[in-house]
Amino acid sequence: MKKYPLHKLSMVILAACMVTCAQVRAADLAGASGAVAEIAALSGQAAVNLAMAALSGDVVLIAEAAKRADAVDAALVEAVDAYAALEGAAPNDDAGLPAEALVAAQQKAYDALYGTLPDKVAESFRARRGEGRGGARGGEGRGGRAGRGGGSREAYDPPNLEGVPWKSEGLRSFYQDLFGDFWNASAFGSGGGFGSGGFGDQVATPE
Amino acid sequence: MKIQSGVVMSAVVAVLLGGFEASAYAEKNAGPMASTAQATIDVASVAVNEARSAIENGKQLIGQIPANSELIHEVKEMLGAAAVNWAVAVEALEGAKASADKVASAATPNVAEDYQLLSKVNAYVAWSGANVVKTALIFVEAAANNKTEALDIIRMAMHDSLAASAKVRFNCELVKTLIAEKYAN
Repeated sequence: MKKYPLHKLSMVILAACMVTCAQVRAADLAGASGAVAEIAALSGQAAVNLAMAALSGDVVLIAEAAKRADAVDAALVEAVDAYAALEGAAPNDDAGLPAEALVAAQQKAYDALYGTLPDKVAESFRARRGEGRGGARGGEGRGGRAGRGGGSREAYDPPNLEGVPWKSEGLRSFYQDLFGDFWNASAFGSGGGFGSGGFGDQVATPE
Repeated sequence: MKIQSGVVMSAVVAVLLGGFEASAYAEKNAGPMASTAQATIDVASVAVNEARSAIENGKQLIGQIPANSELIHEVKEMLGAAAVNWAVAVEALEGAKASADKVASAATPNVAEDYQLLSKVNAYVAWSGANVVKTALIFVEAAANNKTEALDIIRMAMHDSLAASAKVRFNCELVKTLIAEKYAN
Protein backbone atom coordinates (compact mmCIF):
# COMPACT_ATOMS: atom_id res chain seq x y z
CA MET A 1 0.00 0.00 0.00
CA LYS A 2 1.29 3.39 -0.93
CA LYS A 3 2.19 5.53 2.06
CA TYR A 4 1.19 9.17 2.07
CA PRO A 5 3.10 11.71 4.15
CA LEU A 6 1.25 12.06 7.44
CA HIS A 7 1.32 15.87 7.53
CA LYS A 8 -0.26 16.15 4.08
CA LEU A 9 -2.99 13.70 4.99
CA SER A 10 -3.65 15.60 8.21
CA MET A 11 -4.00 18.88 6.31
CA VAL A 12 -6.52 17.32 3.93
CA ILE A 13 -8.51 15.90 6.84
CA LEU A 14 -8.38 19.19 8.71
CA ALA A 15 -9.63 21.04 5.65
CA ALA A 16 -12.44 18.49 5.21
CA CYS A 17 -13.46 18.91 8.85
CA MET A 18 -13.49 22.71 8.54
CA VAL A 19 -15.68 22.56 5.44
CA THR A 20 -18.02 20.14 7.21
CA CYS A 21 -18.26 22.39 10.28
CA ALA A 22 -19.04 25.41 8.06
CA GLN A 23 -21.73 23.43 6.26
CA VAL A 24 -23.24 22.24 9.55
CA ARG A 25 -23.33 25.81 10.85
CA ALA A 26 -24.90 27.10 7.62
CA ALA A 27 -27.50 24.32 7.72
CA ASP A 28 -28.40 25.11 11.34
CA LEU A 29 -28.64 28.84 10.69
CA ALA A 30 -30.65 28.37 7.50
CA GLY A 31 -33.15 26.15 9.32
CA ALA A 32 -33.33 28.60 12.19
CA SER A 33 -33.84 31.52 9.84
CA GLY A 34 -36.64 29.61 8.15
CA ALA A 35 -38.25 29.10 11.55
CA VAL A 36 -38.10 32.84 12.25
CA ALA A 37 -39.69 33.47 8.84
CA GLU A 38 -42.48 31.06 9.73
CA ILE A 39 -43.25 32.86 13.00
CA ALA A 40 -43.14 36.23 11.22
CA ALA A 41 -45.65 34.90 8.69
CA LEU A 42 -47.88 33.88 11.60
CA SER A 43 -47.53 37.42 12.93
CA GLY A 44 -48.82 38.71 9.58
CA GLN A 45 -51.78 36.34 9.82
CA ALA A 46 -52.51 37.60 13.33
CA ALA A 47 -52.51 41.17 12.00
CA VAL A 48 -55.04 40.27 9.29
CA ASN A 49 -57.24 38.56 11.86
CA LEU A 50 -57.12 41.72 13.95
CA ALA A 51 -58.05 43.91 10.98
CA MET A 52 -60.99 41.63 10.17
CA ALA A 53 -62.13 41.75 13.79
CA ALA A 54 -61.92 45.55 13.69
CA LEU A 55 -64.04 45.62 10.53
CA SER A 56 -66.67 43.47 12.24
CA GLY A 57 -66.92 46.01 15.07
CA ASP A 58 -67.25 43.24 17.67
CA VAL A 59 -65.25 44.42 20.69
CA VAL A 60 -64.91 40.90 22.11
CA LEU A 61 -63.43 39.64 18.84
CA ILE A 62 -61.15 42.67 18.65
CA ALA A 63 -59.85 42.13 22.19
CA GLU A 64 -59.17 38.45 21.54
CA ALA A 65 -57.49 39.10 18.19
CA ALA A 66 -55.31 41.80 19.78
CA LYS A 67 -54.30 39.48 22.56
CA ARG A 68 -53.40 36.76 20.09
CA ALA A 69 -51.42 39.20 17.96
CA ASP A 70 -49.47 40.32 21.03
CA ALA A 71 -48.71 36.72 21.96
CA VAL A 72 -47.51 35.89 18.45
CA ASP A 73 -45.31 38.98 18.46
CA ALA A 74 -43.93 37.91 21.84
CA ALA A 75 -43.05 34.54 20.34
CA LEU A 76 -41.42 36.31 17.40
CA VAL A 77 -39.23 38.36 19.74
CA GLU A 78 -38.19 35.16 21.53
CA ALA A 79 -37.40 33.54 18.20
CA VAL A 80 -35.28 36.49 17.07
CA ASP A 81 -33.36 36.37 20.37
CA ALA A 82 -32.84 32.62 19.99
CA TYR A 83 -31.60 33.10 16.44
CA ALA A 84 -29.18 35.79 17.60
CA ALA A 85 -27.88 33.40 20.28
CA LEU A 86 -27.47 30.66 17.68
CA GLU A 87 -25.72 33.02 15.29
CA GLY A 88 -23.42 34.39 17.99
CA ALA A 89 -22.52 30.99 19.40
CA ALA A 90 -18.90 29.95 19.05
CA PRO A 91 -18.27 26.75 17.07
CA ASN A 92 -17.64 24.80 20.28
CA ASP A 93 -20.72 26.16 22.09
CA ASP A 94 -23.74 23.99 22.61
CA ALA A 95 -26.27 25.12 19.99
CA GLY A 96 -28.94 22.94 21.56
CA LEU A 97 -30.35 25.56 23.91
CA PRO A 98 -31.04 28.30 21.32
CA ALA A 99 -32.41 25.67 18.95
CA GLU A 100 -34.78 24.44 21.66
CA ALA A 101 -35.79 28.03 22.44
CA LEU A 102 -36.56 28.54 18.76
CA VAL A 103 -38.72 25.42 18.58
CA ALA A 104 -40.50 26.52 21.77
CA ALA A 105 -41.13 29.95 20.23
CA GLN A 106 -42.62 28.28 17.14
CA GLN A 107 -44.96 26.24 19.32
CA LYS A 108 -45.96 29.35 21.28
CA ALA A 109 -46.73 31.22 18.07
CA TYR A 110 -48.98 28.45 16.78
CA ASP A 111 -50.70 28.10 20.15
CA ALA A 112 -51.20 31.85 20.33
CA LEU A 113 -52.80 32.04 16.91
CA TYR A 114 -54.78 28.82 16.74
CA GLY A 115 -54.89 27.37 20.24
CA THR A 116 -55.82 28.40 23.72
CA LEU A 117 -54.17 31.66 24.53
CA PRO A 118 -52.24 31.73 27.81
CA ASP A 119 -52.82 35.21 29.26
CA LYS A 120 -49.46 35.31 30.94
CA VAL A 121 -47.63 35.35 27.62
CA ALA A 122 -49.34 38.47 26.44
CA GLU A 123 -48.96 40.19 29.80
CA SER A 124 -45.26 39.46 30.02
CA PHE A 125 -44.77 40.74 26.50
CA ARG A 126 -46.61 43.95 27.25
CA ALA A 127 -44.57 44.40 30.41
CA ARG A 128 -41.41 43.83 28.43
CA ARG A 129 -42.32 46.42 25.84
CA GLY A 130 -43.70 48.79 28.45
CA GLU A 131 -46.87 49.24 26.47
CA GLY A 132 -50.04 47.46 25.56
CA ARG A 133 -51.95 47.40 22.37
CA GLY A 134 -54.50 44.91 23.62
CA GLY A 135 -56.27 47.52 25.69
CA ALA A 136 -55.96 50.07 22.97
CA ARG A 137 -57.48 47.77 20.41
CA GLY A 138 -60.19 46.92 22.83
CA GLY A 139 -61.24 50.52 22.96
CA GLU A 140 -59.16 52.08 25.73
CA GLY A 141 -57.29 54.35 23.37
CA ARG A 142 -53.88 53.75 21.91
CA GLY A 143 -52.59 56.95 23.43
CA GLY A 144 -51.71 55.07 26.57
CA ARG A 145 -48.58 53.66 25.01
CA ALA A 146 -45.59 54.67 27.04
CA GLY A 147 -43.12 57.02 25.44
CA ARG A 148 -45.05 57.47 22.26
CA GLY A 149 -46.68 60.74 22.85
CA GLY A 150 -50.05 59.74 24.23
CA GLY A 151 -53.20 61.35 22.94
CA SER A 152 -55.77 59.66 20.82
CA ARG A 153 -54.41 60.93 17.56
CA GLU A 154 -51.31 59.46 16.04
CA ALA A 155 -50.54 60.68 12.57
CA TYR A 156 -47.39 58.65 12.31
CA ASP A 157 -46.55 55.22 13.59
CA PRO A 158 -42.86 54.83 14.36
CA PRO A 159 -40.89 52.02 12.78
CA ASN A 160 -41.18 48.64 14.40
CA LEU A 161 -37.95 48.35 16.33
CA GLU A 162 -38.82 44.82 17.33
CA GLY A 163 -38.30 43.94 13.70
CA VAL A 164 -34.57 44.54 13.78
CA PRO A 165 -32.55 41.45 14.62
CA TRP A 166 -30.44 43.11 17.30
CA LYS A 167 -27.53 41.13 18.58
CA SER A 168 -28.48 41.65 22.20
CA GLU A 169 -31.42 42.64 24.33
CA GLY A 170 -29.38 45.47 25.87
CA LEU A 171 -28.60 47.02 22.52
CA ARG A 172 -32.24 46.82 21.49
CA SER A 173 -33.36 48.51 24.69
CA PHE A 174 -30.75 51.20 24.15
CA TYR A 175 -32.01 52.02 20.67
CA GLN A 176 -35.62 51.85 21.75
CA ASP A 177 -34.94 54.31 24.57
CA LEU A 178 -33.05 56.54 22.17
CA PHE A 179 -35.95 56.46 19.73
CA GLY A 180 -38.40 57.07 22.57
CA ASP A 181 -36.54 60.26 23.50
CA PHE A 182 -36.53 61.37 19.88
CA TRP A 183 -40.22 60.60 19.60
CA ASN A 184 -41.09 62.55 22.74
CA ALA A 185 -39.18 65.53 21.44
CA SER A 186 -41.12 65.54 18.19
CA ALA A 187 -44.35 67.26 17.34
CA PHE A 188 -46.19 64.00 17.98
CA GLY A 189 -44.63 63.36 21.35
CA SER A 190 -44.94 64.76 24.87
CA GLY A 191 -48.40 63.75 25.68
CA GLY A 192 -50.88 65.22 23.32
CA GLY A 193 -50.29 64.67 19.67
CA PHE A 194 -50.47 67.92 17.74
CA GLY A 195 -50.58 71.13 19.65
CA SER A 196 -49.24 70.12 23.02
CA GLY A 197 -45.70 69.57 23.96
CA GLY A 198 -43.09 68.61 21.39
CA PHE A 199 -40.81 71.12 19.77
CA GLY A 200 -42.71 70.86 16.49
CA ASP A 201 -45.61 72.96 17.75
CA GLN A 202 -43.48 75.71 19.29
CA VAL A 203 -43.57 78.97 17.44
CA ALA A 204 -40.65 79.38 15.13
CA THR A 205 -40.01 82.99 16.07
CA PRO A 206 -40.70 84.88 19.32
CA GLU A 207 -43.20 87.27 17.81
CA MET B 1 0.28 2.95 9.15
CA LYS B 2 -1.64 2.57 12.38
CA ILE B 3 -1.38 6.30 12.98
CA GLN B 4 -2.70 7.08 9.49
CA SER B 5 -5.61 4.69 9.94
CA GLY B 6 -6.43 6.28 13.28
CA VAL B 7 -6.45 9.76 11.76
CA VAL B 8 -8.67 8.60 8.91
CA MET B 9 -11.06 6.93 11.35
CA SER B 10 -11.18 10.12 13.42
CA ALA B 11 -12.02 12.11 10.32
CA VAL B 12 -14.81 9.72 9.38
CA VAL B 13 -16.25 9.96 12.90
CA ALA B 14 -16.00 13.77 12.78
CA VAL B 15 -17.83 13.92 9.45
CA LEU B 16 -20.52 11.53 10.70
CA LEU B 17 -20.95 13.60 13.87
CA GLY B 18 -21.16 16.71 11.72
CA GLY B 19 -23.96 15.16 9.74
CA PHE B 20 -25.68 14.19 12.96
CA GLU B 21 -25.48 17.75 14.26
CA ALA B 22 -26.79 19.08 10.97
CA SER B 23 -29.88 16.99 11.29
CA ALA B 24 -30.30 17.76 15.01
CA TYR B 25 -32.26 20.93 14.35
CA ALA B 26 -34.44 19.21 11.79
CA GLU B 27 -35.23 16.43 14.26
CA LYS B 28 -36.09 18.89 17.02
CA ASN B 29 -38.17 20.79 14.54
CA ALA B 30 -40.13 17.73 13.48
CA GLY B 31 -43.01 18.50 15.79
CA PRO B 32 -46.61 19.06 14.79
CA MET B 33 -45.85 22.58 13.58
CA ALA B 34 -43.15 21.46 11.18
CA SER B 35 -45.22 21.44 8.06
CA THR B 36 -44.10 19.94 4.80
CA ALA B 37 -43.35 22.16 1.86
CA GLN B 38 -46.62 21.22 0.15
CA ALA B 39 -48.72 22.00 3.21
CA THR B 40 -47.09 25.42 3.45
CA ILE B 41 -47.70 26.03 -0.24
CA ASP B 42 -51.35 25.09 0.26
CA VAL B 43 -51.70 27.66 3.05
CA ALA B 44 -50.01 30.31 0.93
CA SER B 45 -52.18 29.46 -2.09
CA VAL B 46 -55.35 29.92 -0.06
CA ALA B 47 -54.09 33.28 1.20
CA VAL B 48 -53.16 34.41 -2.31
CA ASN B 49 -56.59 33.39 -3.65
CA GLU B 50 -58.29 35.28 -0.82
CA ALA B 51 -56.15 38.30 -1.62
CA ARG B 52 -57.17 38.02 -5.28
CA SER B 53 -60.85 38.01 -4.28
CA ALA B 54 -60.24 40.98 -2.01
CA ILE B 55 -58.71 42.89 -4.92
CA GLU B 56 -61.76 42.14 -7.06
CA ASN B 57 -64.07 43.37 -4.32
CA GLY B 58 -61.85 46.37 -3.77
CA LYS B 59 -62.39 47.57 -7.33
CA GLN B 60 -66.10 47.99 -6.53
CA LEU B 61 -65.44 49.52 -3.13
CA ILE B 62 -63.07 52.21 -4.41
CA GLY B 63 -65.96 53.75 -6.34
CA GLN B 64 -67.90 54.20 -3.14
CA ILE B 65 -65.28 56.46 -1.56
CA PRO B 66 -65.95 60.11 -2.44
CA ALA B 67 -63.11 61.74 -4.35
CA ASN B 68 -62.98 64.54 -1.80
CA SER B 69 -62.80 62.16 1.15
CA GLU B 70 -59.99 62.90 3.58
CA LEU B 71 -59.16 59.20 3.50
CA ILE B 72 -58.51 59.04 -0.23
CA HIS B 73 -54.82 59.84 0.11
CA GLU B 74 -54.39 57.12 2.71
CA VAL B 75 -56.34 54.67 0.58
CA LYS B 76 -53.91 55.34 -2.28
CA GLU B 77 -50.96 54.63 0.01
CA MET B 78 -52.55 51.40 1.17
CA LEU B 79 -53.21 50.31 -2.40
CA GLY B 80 -49.62 51.15 -3.34
CA ALA B 81 -48.30 48.89 -0.57
CA ALA B 82 -50.80 46.23 -1.59
CA ALA B 83 -49.69 46.35 -5.23
CA VAL B 84 -46.02 45.89 -4.29
CA ASN B 85 -46.80 42.99 -1.97
CA TRP B 86 -49.18 41.39 -4.44
CA ALA B 87 -46.42 41.16 -7.03
CA VAL B 88 -44.05 39.74 -4.42
CA ALA B 89 -46.62 37.19 -3.25
CA VAL B 90 -47.41 35.88 -6.74
CA GLU B 91 -43.74 35.59 -7.65
CA ALA B 92 -42.84 33.91 -4.35
CA LEU B 93 -45.64 31.39 -4.71
CA GLU B 94 -44.30 30.41 -8.13
CA GLY B 95 -40.83 30.10 -6.59
CA ALA B 96 -42.18 27.92 -3.80
CA LYS B 97 -43.84 25.59 -6.29
CA ALA B 98 -40.70 25.42 -8.44
CA SER B 99 -38.54 24.52 -5.42
CA ALA B 100 -41.05 21.91 -4.26
CA ASP B 101 -40.94 20.29 -7.69
CA LYS B 102 -37.18 19.87 -7.36
CA VAL B 103 -37.35 18.10 -3.99
CA ALA B 104 -38.18 14.72 -5.51
CA SER B 105 -35.48 14.90 -8.15
CA ALA B 106 -32.70 16.16 -5.87
CA ALA B 107 -29.40 14.29 -6.08
CA THR B 108 -28.94 13.84 -2.34
CA PRO B 109 -31.12 14.01 0.79
CA ASN B 110 -29.28 17.17 1.87
CA VAL B 111 -30.05 18.91 -1.41
CA ALA B 112 -33.67 17.78 -1.11
CA GLU B 113 -33.83 19.30 2.40
CA ASP B 114 -32.47 22.56 1.07
CA TYR B 115 -35.06 22.68 -1.72
CA GLN B 116 -37.75 21.95 0.83
CA LEU B 117 -36.55 24.80 3.04
CA LEU B 118 -36.41 27.15 0.04
CA SER B 119 -39.91 26.13 -0.92
CA LYS B 120 -41.20 26.79 2.57
CA VAL B 121 -39.61 30.21 3.00
CA ASN B 122 -40.88 31.27 -0.42
CA ALA B 123 -44.35 30.13 0.61
CA TYR B 124 -44.04 32.20 3.79
CA VAL B 125 -43.16 35.24 1.67
CA ALA B 126 -46.25 34.61 -0.48
CA TRP B 127 -48.42 34.13 2.58
CA SER B 128 -47.25 37.31 4.32
CA GLY B 129 -47.45 39.32 1.08
CA ALA B 130 -51.02 38.17 0.53
CA ASN B 131 -51.84 39.16 4.10
CA VAL B 132 -50.60 42.69 3.46
CA VAL B 133 -52.93 42.87 0.44
CA LYS B 134 -55.85 41.59 2.50
CA THR B 135 -55.21 44.08 5.29
CA ALA B 136 -54.99 46.98 2.82
CA LEU B 137 -58.27 45.95 1.22
CA ILE B 138 -59.90 45.68 4.64
CA PHE B 139 -58.92 49.33 5.14
CA VAL B 140 -60.52 50.20 1.79
CA GLU B 141 -63.68 48.36 2.79
CA ALA B 142 -63.83 50.18 6.12
CA ALA B 143 -63.30 53.53 4.38
CA ALA B 144 -65.94 52.78 1.74
CA ASN B 145 -68.50 51.74 4.33
CA ASN B 146 -67.64 54.69 6.58
CA LYS B 147 -66.56 52.47 9.47
CA THR B 148 -64.23 55.14 10.73
CA GLU B 149 -64.06 53.72 14.26
CA ALA B 150 -62.23 50.67 12.89
CA LEU B 151 -59.62 52.60 10.93
CA ASP B 152 -57.13 53.14 13.76
CA ILE B 153 -56.94 49.45 14.51
CA ILE B 154 -56.67 48.55 10.83
CA ARG B 155 -53.87 51.09 10.40
CA MET B 156 -51.98 49.42 13.22
CA ALA B 157 -52.70 45.98 11.77
CA MET B 158 -51.35 47.20 8.42
CA HIS B 159 -48.21 48.41 10.15
CA ASP B 160 -47.77 45.01 11.80
CA SER B 161 -48.56 43.21 8.58
CA LEU B 162 -45.94 45.19 6.65
CA ALA B 163 -43.37 44.61 9.41
CA ALA B 164 -44.10 40.89 9.36
CA SER B 165 -43.82 40.78 5.57
CA ALA B 166 -40.49 42.61 5.67
CA LYS B 167 -39.15 40.23 8.30
CA VAL B 168 -40.24 37.17 6.32
CA ARG B 169 -38.54 38.50 3.20
CA PHE B 170 -35.39 39.33 5.16
CA ASN B 171 -35.22 35.80 6.52
CA CYS B 172 -35.98 34.31 3.13
CA GLU B 173 -32.99 36.13 1.65
CA LEU B 174 -30.91 34.98 4.62
CA VAL B 175 -31.87 31.37 3.99
CA LYS B 176 -30.95 31.69 0.33
CA THR B 177 -27.58 33.20 1.24
CA LEU B 178 -26.80 30.53 3.83
CA ILE B 179 -27.72 27.72 1.48
CA ALA B 180 -25.60 29.26 -1.26
CA GLU B 181 -22.69 29.46 1.22
CA LYS B 182 -23.03 25.75 1.92
CA TYR B 183 -22.39 24.89 -1.71
CA ALA B 184 -19.76 27.55 -2.25
CA ASN B 185 -17.33 25.77 0.13
